[in-house]
Amino acid sequence: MRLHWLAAAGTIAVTAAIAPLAAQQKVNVGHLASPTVSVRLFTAAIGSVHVVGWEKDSIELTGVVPNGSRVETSGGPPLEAVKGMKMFVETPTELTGREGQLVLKVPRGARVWVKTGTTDMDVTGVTGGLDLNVVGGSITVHGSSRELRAESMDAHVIVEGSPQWARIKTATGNITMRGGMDIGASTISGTIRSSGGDVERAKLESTTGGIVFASDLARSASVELESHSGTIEVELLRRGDVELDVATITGAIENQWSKTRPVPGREGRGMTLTTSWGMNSGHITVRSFKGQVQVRSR
Amino acid sequence: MTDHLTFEQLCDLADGALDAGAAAVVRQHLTSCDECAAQLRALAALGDAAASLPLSVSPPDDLWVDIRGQLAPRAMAGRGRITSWRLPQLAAAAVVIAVGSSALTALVIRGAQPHTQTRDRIVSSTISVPTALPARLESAENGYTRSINALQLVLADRRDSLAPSTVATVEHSLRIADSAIAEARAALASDPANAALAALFNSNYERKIDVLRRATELAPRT
Amino acid sequence: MLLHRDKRSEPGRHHIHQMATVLPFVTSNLSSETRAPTGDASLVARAQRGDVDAFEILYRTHAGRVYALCLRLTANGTRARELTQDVFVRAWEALPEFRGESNLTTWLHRIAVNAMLMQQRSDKRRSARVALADDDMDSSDAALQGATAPEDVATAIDLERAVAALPPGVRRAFILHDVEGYSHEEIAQMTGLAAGTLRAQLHRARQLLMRALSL
Repeated sequence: MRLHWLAAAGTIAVTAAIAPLAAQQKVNVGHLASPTVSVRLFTAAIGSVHVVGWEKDSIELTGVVPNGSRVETSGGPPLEAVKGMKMFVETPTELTGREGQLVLKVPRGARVWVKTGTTDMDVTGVTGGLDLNVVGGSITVHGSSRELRAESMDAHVIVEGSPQWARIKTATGNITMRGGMDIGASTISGTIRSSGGDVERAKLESTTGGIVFASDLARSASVELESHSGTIEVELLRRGDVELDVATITGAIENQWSKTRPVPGREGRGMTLTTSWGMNSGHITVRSFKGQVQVRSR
Repeated sequence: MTDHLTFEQLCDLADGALDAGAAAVVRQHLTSCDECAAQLRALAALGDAAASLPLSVSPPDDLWVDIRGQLAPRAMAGRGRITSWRLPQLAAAAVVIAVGSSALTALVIRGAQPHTQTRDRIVSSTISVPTALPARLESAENGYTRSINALQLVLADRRDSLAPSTVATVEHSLRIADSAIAEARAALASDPANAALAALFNSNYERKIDVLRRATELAPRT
Repeated sequence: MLLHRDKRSEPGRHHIHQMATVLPFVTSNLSSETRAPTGDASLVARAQRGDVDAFEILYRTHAGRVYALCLRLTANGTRARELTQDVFVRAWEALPEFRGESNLTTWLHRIAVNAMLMQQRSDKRRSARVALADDDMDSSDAALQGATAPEDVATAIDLERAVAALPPGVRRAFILHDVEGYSHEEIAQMTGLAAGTLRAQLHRARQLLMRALSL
């Protein structure tokens, strides 16, 4: 196994690295690591961060950062696999744009925590745990980690894999889940779309953003969809095994999935709809204040 | 040593509790005893698993409300009164607390800083018209308001360190949340027993608090 | 090789955001653990002067660590909630005496352990059943019968279940030492137990867990 490191522990002055490329400098840090190592990467706003789970028993951080950046890592004695590692990348304060690129390679079973400013982040092949915090830019996760937490302000979050447990939060960023078993997604004004997967439990909520739920349901699945004013679209298999319970305060309900008609709600306000098919092993609850709810077949 | 090591010896070795001599003897045995070496590895695996367990678990969301209700006012010797800076405003609590959280923040901050320039703060500008809530929801709203005020103070201190675009995103989101809270609140006034409406009302608050909390945790220059 | 790691140097610990009673489902958030609360000292000072808002920020910063310990000590969600509430109410009352000799989490943990011990002593006075340290040591493996891991649950959940099934004193020793990373001396201060008793409890806990987890 090939190891690259500039120091086993302590501060690394990147200015001493290999010949800088224009206004950027190379980063090349590595260490032996246990298969379930916990890795934390703090970095300022940077062009992109790529996290890759690989088969090797080491952590490797490579890439290019702006001139004058500082890279610090915690480590351990050389030739001893660390169980935890922290890395800090601090860029010069006068920079206002996003420059640079980092590639973090970790053992597949690692638990990875990344906190950064605005960046485009993508993750591939990590099956342990992921905790990703960005402000803006984007987050894309491929592969099926055991746990996934992603938080952003306006970055869009896309999950292509099927994490066993996922909690995604944005303020204005859109959330797209293309798999997952236990899903929590929350946004103020972004949109949420959930499809694919084998959902056992899900709670998707927004204040004004639209929600589309088109995922497959596991047996005895429990799903909650809630929005204050966003449109909620529920796409069910034509003969899906599910019970649906919808209520709005003032919003309209449209049902194209079954023959049941929505009825006026309490005191004539809003609407309610209760409809089901099959043995009702799955349950979907939809609540909306004034957004429209649409139920249809897929 | 022909006998196997005791479990206690293995634990002591793993914990660094053996003196140098005893540790050397134990290590010597391990070089030639697969069974003891395997048990030591199993012990290490247990240790790794234990060390990997999460150290922190979020308590139930409403726990603070219960705790808050049991905190006795603290009268410090020689000071003679509760020193919370919110006390003057709380004298009008019956009206003030009924106002939306953003309005309360504005009122309190102005009241707390009569002689200083009001700090720029990340608050929405929506001011709700006071409407009565069911007691249980009013109690919950009191808790939310306190949390929001505390977070907004922290955020106000950090505002200048955040990127303008981030501040704009946070403020935009808070305005949206405040608007939704006000609408839900108004609807509850005429339909106080509506459980779904109450849930929506609480959810709007919780999302607002979550945005505020996350904003306080942002690194500088982000 | 050290089994026990100093919690202060242990990176990568993470935060669970949702965990149901007695841990049938473990979730995690890696972020909050290193969220060093800015201005803890100033918040403590304000809270000592009666500022409830400052105390609330301290609560929100440290509640996760306290609740996790309470959950594992009690192995019961309802009791963990009650104990956590008790801890923070006691902390509010005792805060004027806090001088920063330890970090706040350690101080809160100490309150939690004391509160738990007081509750156990109170339970003992009400009940004929006595759970002394020695009884913990003599507990049979019956405590772990049935604590088999469901097929689809990860190692951490298996371990949490197994820990929850340990006898109370033995469980406490394992949680404080192997999970939380406190030293023998610190645990002795927290619990009032003699070093030898603590050591024996810890060894017993590890034996029972290794058996339950088939290690």
